[in-house]
Amino acid sequence: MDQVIQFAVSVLSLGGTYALLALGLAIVFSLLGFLNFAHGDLMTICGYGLYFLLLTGVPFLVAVPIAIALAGLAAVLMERIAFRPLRGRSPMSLLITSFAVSLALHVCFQIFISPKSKPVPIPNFLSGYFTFGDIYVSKAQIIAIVISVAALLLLNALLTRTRMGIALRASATDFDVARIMGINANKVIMIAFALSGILAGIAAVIWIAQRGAVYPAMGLTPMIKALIAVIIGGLSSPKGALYGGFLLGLLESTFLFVLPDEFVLYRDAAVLIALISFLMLRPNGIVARNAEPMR
Amino acid sequence: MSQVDLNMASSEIAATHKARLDTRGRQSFWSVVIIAPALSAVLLFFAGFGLANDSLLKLATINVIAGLGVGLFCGGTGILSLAHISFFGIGAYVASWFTIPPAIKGFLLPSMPFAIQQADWPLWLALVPAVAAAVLVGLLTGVVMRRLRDTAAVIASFGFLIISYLLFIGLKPLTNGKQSLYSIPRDALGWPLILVALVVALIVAYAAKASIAGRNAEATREDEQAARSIGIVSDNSILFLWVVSAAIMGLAGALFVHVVGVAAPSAFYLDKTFALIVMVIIGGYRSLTGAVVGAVIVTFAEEVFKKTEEFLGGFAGQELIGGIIMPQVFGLTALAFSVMILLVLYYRPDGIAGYKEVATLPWVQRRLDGWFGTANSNIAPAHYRVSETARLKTVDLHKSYGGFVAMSGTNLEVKAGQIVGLIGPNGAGKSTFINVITGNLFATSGSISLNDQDATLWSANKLAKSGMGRTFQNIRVFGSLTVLENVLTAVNVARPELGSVVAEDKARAWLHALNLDAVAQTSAEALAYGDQRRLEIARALALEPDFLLLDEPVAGMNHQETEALTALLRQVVADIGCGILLVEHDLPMVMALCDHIYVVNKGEQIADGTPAEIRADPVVIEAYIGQELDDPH
Repeated sequence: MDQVIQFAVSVLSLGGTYALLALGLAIVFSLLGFLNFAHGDLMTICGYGLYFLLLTGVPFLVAVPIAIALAGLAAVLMERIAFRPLRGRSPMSLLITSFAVSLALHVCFQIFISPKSKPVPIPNFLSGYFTFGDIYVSKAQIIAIVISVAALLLLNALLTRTRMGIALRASATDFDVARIMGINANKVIMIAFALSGILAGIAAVIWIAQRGAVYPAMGLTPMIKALIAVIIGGLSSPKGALYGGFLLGLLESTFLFVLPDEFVLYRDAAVLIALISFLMLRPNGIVARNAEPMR
Repeated sequence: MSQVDLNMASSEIAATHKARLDTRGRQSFWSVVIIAPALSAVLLFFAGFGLANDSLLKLATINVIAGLGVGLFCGGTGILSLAHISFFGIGAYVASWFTIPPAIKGFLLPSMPFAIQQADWPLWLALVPAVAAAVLVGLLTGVVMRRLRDTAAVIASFGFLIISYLLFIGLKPLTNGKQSLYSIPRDALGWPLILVALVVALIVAYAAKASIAGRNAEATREDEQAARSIGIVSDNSILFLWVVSAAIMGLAGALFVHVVGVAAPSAFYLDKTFALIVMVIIGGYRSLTGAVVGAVIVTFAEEVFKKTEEFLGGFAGQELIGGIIMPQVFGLTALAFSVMILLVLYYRPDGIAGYKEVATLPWVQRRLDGWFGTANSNIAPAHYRVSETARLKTVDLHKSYGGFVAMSGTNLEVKAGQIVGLIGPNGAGKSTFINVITGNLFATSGSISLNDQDATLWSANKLAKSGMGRTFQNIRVFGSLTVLENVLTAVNVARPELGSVVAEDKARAWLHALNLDAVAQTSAEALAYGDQRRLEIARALALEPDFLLLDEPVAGMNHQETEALTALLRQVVADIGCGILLVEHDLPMVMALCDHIYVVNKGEQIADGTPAEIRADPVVIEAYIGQELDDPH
């Protein structure tokens, strides 16, 4: 029984984190048609923001929202500096650009901060275990679930209830028509990047709370998995990103429980192979844009 | 459009030369002939001025080979692959298994089979298993890659890169993990071998690009639906380029470790992947020439940045102006590459060498005059004859989306030699019908029969190969391919037995028949609208179909162009005997041209008959034409 609960908690906490990342990627994709390879570096930026804020003595609960906002700001700047000059070019050039931006940021972290891992002190209320009878569940994992579910609900409300969210969804459906209807393209794209940055920031806080350190390549591994989660889910709708994220969480937790410790090195490889094999069966993802099978 | 003569006498055109290769083959041949010595000259220049040592020159050559591999796949398919460095790594590890001295292998790879433990092969022999391994893994991963397009393909290839990196670290019995394989003999790689490898890679890459599969991949890149409509199996052409490029990467990797002497997992990961992307983007990813140029630039730029980094490293920790302390500089190369790639994408998206191969540049062509643009060999007229018994028939064809019925009960028949019209107001279900009958959508119920065979479940490819040619409402030509190659792709499908030169002549004959010979070497996207329409028809006819399905062929044409096209279609039916199904909004044209007309409205077939009957049918008048005429206002 306790194994089942621990497994479920692990699935939900991992899945929630990946879903946040995947959603951020999907929001930008829905407008500009490319997956932002520098998305993981937004996580890293948030991590370093948290590190420096805590270093200067800002209390944890104050530092977290500032660090998350920093990630949102970084995403907006990234769009303004690197992607806007290429507006209207093929998605492939934007993708390559984002790859270049990611590498450049990575090098900047190495040169100007440190190539080594920096510890982020996690307050006590986030470490340790909750006990329910004889079942132990990690506090960080429970909080991860709570935060990611809250963030997802908030995002949903934002997208369906506010003018801004509706403008965003309209633009994602058909950008050209939305612009003819008077929606400001630059503003919508800016909002999309800000949202994706904030989601990446939230994911980063969850990630760091469970690991307690930040380093230049921190965002790489979760981002790679989120990228694949988006593809698996289907690029045509944000629902896809959600499904993809949780499917990834399920897969990873399963391999974590099933694979003996000596094969732990192969866990990520096994997860990736499983995901890519899934793509072979459904090349357009779970939520395919074109529900018709190709003949 | 002037008078068209499909049966033009062949004696009018005299042979001017006997070519052994088609246009693209000749261009590729000359590109190899130009690049190999030009590259050697550049390397000699660097060596002569003491700007590069022996191993840097070798690395430059190997980078060119690797650039060819990546460029071949990315340029041909338009898919950015991040996985090619994995094949490079596989080639590197497998070659090392056979060349590391047995004494060292004993403790480096103790669990290897005895035969490999004892192997002490020369490098040229070790290249064989290295390339074979890359091909094998290419086939395995290709099973997935052939199915994927666009972003999904890029991300999947990224997944493969990560998987291979994790396995290079994890499979210690094979790779020694992060401790890496060392003592790889560096003296095994001499210049003769490396130059032979370069020439082989050039020939293989250019031959793949000039092959039918290579051209089909490009057609798929330009427009997959159009490619499927002429019977191209897109997946296979992508798989082909994937495997061939994997082989080239395996070769490059095997040579690479014998320059650096060490095989470590980190050498086959993100940095090198990025370097490869930089090569193809800076040089120009559409052409192999671009990949070669990019590889040379990147190799020497990398060296300059490394030297700069070492120079700056000397100042690390010292105070600069204003109390700023000079940080230790890492990864300057990657930073500089990022900036380079951004600059190229902003200011020159086609890359430095552009999208043309070196031998197709105008100034090269002028010097090689006589080999290019000589259109007139001995061309037989474009002709085939459709059997009089050919029949295209649909029975009770029905298509619904959930509760919405897009098309119901469509019964339609086209016989050889007949021109049949399908008309109906907007939203009548014409597009649904076309998509179902051309194999792009599944029918919900009913059947399609083509020459008495049940074709209901056939794919677009199969329908195309079995006698159904089509054009598209919104023009779909292979934009960056030449007009001649657009038609040639279809000829290759219809007549796989023809040699490349004969096939090209056949394609020229079709261009002549549709009065497009003057623009044969122009890229299709540069054609005028009317010419693109005719090119689509030429491409469909080159498939030698029994039935030609034309989807609004005169949309956007003026009166003269419409008249000319009407005349052309009559001529085609008279000469070839094929059946034509014409879906059109232009009622006068349909009435003038068609033998039989079907009328659909709101998803239902409401009438059929001769033009005269349709004109007189009250149901049609009411549903289609009448509303306005009868309207008293």
